[in-house]
Formats: sequence, structure tokens, C-alpha cells
Amino acid sequence: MNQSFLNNKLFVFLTVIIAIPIIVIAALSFFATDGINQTSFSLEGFKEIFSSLRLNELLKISGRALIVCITATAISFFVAYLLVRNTSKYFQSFFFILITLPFLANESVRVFSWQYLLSENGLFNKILSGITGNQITFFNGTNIMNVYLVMIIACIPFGVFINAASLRTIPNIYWKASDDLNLNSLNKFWKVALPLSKFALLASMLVTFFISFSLSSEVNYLGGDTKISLRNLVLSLMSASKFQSIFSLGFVITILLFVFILLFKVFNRNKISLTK
Amino acid sequence: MKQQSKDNYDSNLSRKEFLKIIGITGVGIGMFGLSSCFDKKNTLRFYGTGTLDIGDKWKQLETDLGIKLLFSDNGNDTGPIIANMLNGNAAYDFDIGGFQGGTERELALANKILPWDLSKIPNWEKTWDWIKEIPTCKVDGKQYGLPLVVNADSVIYLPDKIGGIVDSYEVVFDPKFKGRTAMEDAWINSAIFAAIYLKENSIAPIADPGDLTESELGVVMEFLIKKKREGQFKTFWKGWEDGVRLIKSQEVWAMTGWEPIVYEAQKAGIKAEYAIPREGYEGWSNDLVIHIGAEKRNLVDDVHKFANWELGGFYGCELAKQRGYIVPNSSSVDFAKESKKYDAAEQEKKLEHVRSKFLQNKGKVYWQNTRPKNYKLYEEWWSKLRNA
Repeated sequence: MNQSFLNNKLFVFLTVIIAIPIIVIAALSFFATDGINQTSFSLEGFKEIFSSLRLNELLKISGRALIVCITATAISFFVAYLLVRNTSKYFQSFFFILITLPFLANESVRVFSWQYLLSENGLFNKILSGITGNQITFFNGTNIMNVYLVMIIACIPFGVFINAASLRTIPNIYWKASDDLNLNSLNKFWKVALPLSKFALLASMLVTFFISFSLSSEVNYLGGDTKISLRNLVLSLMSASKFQSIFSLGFVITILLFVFILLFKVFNRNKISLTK
Repeated sequence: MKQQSKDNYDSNLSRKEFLKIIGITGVGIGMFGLSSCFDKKNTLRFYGTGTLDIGDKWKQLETDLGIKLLFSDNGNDTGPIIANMLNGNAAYDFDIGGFQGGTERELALANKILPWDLSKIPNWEKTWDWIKEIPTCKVDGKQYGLPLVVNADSVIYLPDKIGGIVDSYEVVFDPKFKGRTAMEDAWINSAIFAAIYLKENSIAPIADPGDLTESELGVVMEFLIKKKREGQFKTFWKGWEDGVRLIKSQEVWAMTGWEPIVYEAQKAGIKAEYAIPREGYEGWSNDLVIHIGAEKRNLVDDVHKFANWELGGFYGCELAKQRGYIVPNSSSVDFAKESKKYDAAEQEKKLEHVRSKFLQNKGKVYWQNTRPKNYKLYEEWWSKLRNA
């Protein structure tokens, strides 16, 4: 069996499992159905998505996801750096298992657990009240801080995995060279780890952005009277029988993702050619 | 099977053994398939709200009518249910549905559900008269929805925090309790509660709080948005767990919500009460509907027998015992008296409690409508409220 035959097979397989669903989403986003199986060409789905109301919702969801992904990536990179540089491989494996365990529980169950810690009468406020001797309601559903906090914590493990994997690939000679140059820990972080991890940082940001973009239980159960999430938006469109808009939303997100990955590839190629 | 070592391996024998196994397996699978075909005649697939499920007690249906029931939880979210009925396969894959009242018109017009033949359901006669008149159950004079469970909702409150008995929805909007009240994150309940309040207190002219016109809806939602911006609501609660937690933790002192939340809080030692609002309750029903799939599988008669059984007494007793909900007729009390397995007095008490909610207050009840005429606008306004 030659390589080109295998490649062709793989290409067909990937086309079937990746391209076809995207084509279906694209097609459905341009056709409206009246509920009795009659379809016609329409741009109503896109009009709805780009209406000021929905755009406002999407901007809020995106803005929140951006803050979460930047913060989670920054924290996770720092954690991954400490882990790779200062701990044994045995401890690293143990740590990875530890941060994976919570993900075995359903998202809603995890968020309910957070509710008992972060609610107004929750454990965190009780501890703070006990320490200060005053009634503390710092953690409170009425401000949006709880949502950000839990979303960031939910995204950090993904960032740690990506960044730790990248940091492990840095050749040991770089660290030895930095030792010979008498670089202190901070300089090693800034001048060695960070520049060599740009790709991982971008990948981590991309992954955590889309994870936080779609998280909804945090908003529903910790967000007080703020209930804007992708799930709520999709359910709202579904309840209003605006199915075409759901496909249009999916299509727009797919295109944005595609453009982002393309830019990422171009950026990376330019970087490689400059290095050469 | 003969043990074979590698030394005396007989490929013919091995092949024969293999074919024998394949043959036995094939016949087995075939018989299994056929048996499921024989079963199909007496198996009903129920696409219902989780609270309608009575678990292993469905066995009684098999004993009584020889009908096996396969229950699938529909998630109780009206939008996705309708989407699954209209654009998915639920209308064909299931024989019977149990949804929040109000979906009937849209599903009937799309030919996804069939009308009931009430002459085939003798127990329907025992259903309380005013339940038979629920407007959303009928489409063009035909009965498409059969109210299986009914109740009336109002305000859950903590009398010690509020400082007395609550008899109006006003408590939820009262600035005195700013940041200590809540409503459900669902317009199907919250919009109607606000509309009842505005109508009955002559704050806004509203004809039917369950089916608001475009301008009425604007007034109601602007009112809620204003209240939200003023910080009146602690939150918009979502789901059973969230609702119970808010009352049990006493973070919220008054909120519109479901009666079982009160019982759950009381069980935990919290002094919580359910208001008898002077403006009237929000009535709701879980309705049985016949899916088009039942006709395709020739199960329409069985579906009618099943509906008659559900209204017959056993189901009412079991539902009240498991969920605290009641079937709107007296069959369950009669059944409890005869069977001795259920507490007839307790059953009577639960039935009376719900009946009195509907009959007291001059019978002022506004029916929840999950699919009002302007439902798309409702969704839009609710998104505006979330954005506000």
C-alpha cells in the first residue's frame, strides 16, 4: 500500500467527517423553513444574528470569553512553567490527574458545588466574616465576579496541559545556556520560556476562548440577574422557532474560526521563514 | 466445544464450529427481533416531562391493560420540545407526549399531533368541569390536549423576613425588598405573573395576561426591565435546585415559583409559605397529546386506553405520592379508598388543596400559555431583559 493511497483515503475520510457537516450548516443557514417542511432561500437568519439585540449579546459573550482566555492563559502558563521547571515528572503526572478529576463530573454539578462556596451565605463569605468579625458579602451572585472566577478556573487546566507540553519540548541546552549566562529565574522566564512558547500561548488562548465562549452553567447559576450565555441565546432562538438563525450563528462562528486558524498559520509560517 | 491444541488443529472442524456459532447467534438475533415485533403492538413510547414518570410503577399498566410503557424525559423546556416535534423525529418516534399546556395549536397545525376521541376515554367525564374548558387544550373545537396534571402557582416567601402574610405579587416588586426578590428565568411564568400584577392592580390595561398583545407585552416587559435596572431582583432563578437553594439559604425573601419548593424548604426547617394572591394564581397544566407516530403504528386505540387508565385513579395516587401533583378528578380518592394501598384522607387533602386554589378568590386563575400568539416577541423581550 503506497503512501499516496493512504493519504487519499485519509483525505476522503476527513472530508466526510469535517467538511460535510460544515456544508450542511452553511446550506441550512441560507434556507428558512416554516415548520411544515417548506423551505425557501432567506437571509433572515443572518439578519437576526446581526440585529443590535443579538449582536450585543454575542459581543458580551465574546468580551467575557476574551477576558477569561487571557487571564486563564496567563495563570496556566505560569503554573505550567513552575511545574515543568521545579517538579519531578512523577509529580507532574500526579498534578495532571488531579486537575483532570473535576472534569469527570458534569458541568452543572461542578457549578452547583461552586454555588455553595461562592453564594452570599456561602463558605467563602463565612470564612471572611469569621476572620474580620464583620458580615462580609464579597462573593455575591449580584456581581459578575463569581462567573469570571469559576470560568477562569474551569479553563486553567486546558492551558496548563498545552503550555506544559510546549515547555517540555524546550531543549535542555537553552536552560544550561541561561545558567551559564547567570540569568535569574525571572529572566529565564521572560527571555527563554516566554519567547519559545508563543505558539503554545496562542493555542492555549484559542482553546480557552472557545471553551469559555460556550460555558453556560456558570452564568445560569452564579450570574445573579445576568443571564447572557451562548446556550441561553441558542435556546431563545430555538424557542422563537428561529432555527435558521442558529445555523447562521454556527456558520459565522465556523468562518471566524477558519479565518483565525488561517491567520495563525500565516503568522507561524512567516515566523519560521524569518527564523531561517 | 472440543478442546484443540495447536498440534492437532482441524481447520474443517474449526470452520464448522464457527458456522454453528454464527447460525445459533443468527437464529437468536432473529427470534429476538421477531419477539420485539410481537411486543411492538402493546408498547407505547411516552415523550413526557420528567415529573409525569412514575418509574417502576408503570408495571401496573402492563398488569391492567397489557401495555408496556417506555418513558423518555423530554427535558420540559418548551422551545427544544417543539423544535424536536416540528423539525426532529419526536413526533414519529413516540406515540404519546406530555407537555406544558399551550403547545397544542402549533403542533396541531403542523400535523404533528392528533385530536383525542373523547368517547373512547370514559374517565374524561370525571375530570373537573373547568379543567375541561382550558382554552389552550382545544384547536378549532377539537380536544388536542388532555390535562393530566394541574396546579396553580404564586409567590414563595419567608414571613419572618417579609414581616407578615403576603397576599399580593406586589411583594416581588416592592422597593422595600430591593435585592431580596427573584423571578424565574423563563418568560412562560414570569411575564404572566407580572402581567397579572399590573392588570389586577389597574396599573396597566391588560386583557389576557396569558396571551399579551404586542403593546401589552411592551408595557409588561418595560416594567420588568425597569425593576431589574433598579436592582430589585437578586437573580432570575433557573431550575429546581437553584430555586430551592435561594429559599433555603434565605438569600431571597420572596420569589415567584413552584409550590414544591415551599415544601422542600419546610422540610429543611425553613419557615416558608406560599402566598394566596388577591390578584389570582397562574394556573398550569401538563397535557397529554397523541403523536402522529401512534397513527403510523396503529396504536391510536392503545393510546386512548392508556389515557383512560391515567385518569382512572392508580396513576393519580402514585403521582401524588411521588411528586405531590394531582390528576384533576376524584378517581384517585375512590381508588385509594378501594385499594387500601394509599392514604385516602391524604389524597383527598391534596386534591382539595389544589381545587380550593382554583375555586377560592372567585376562581381567579390565569392560565399559563407556553405558546402565546406573540411568542417570538416574548423571546425577544426576554433577551432584552437579560441584556438590560
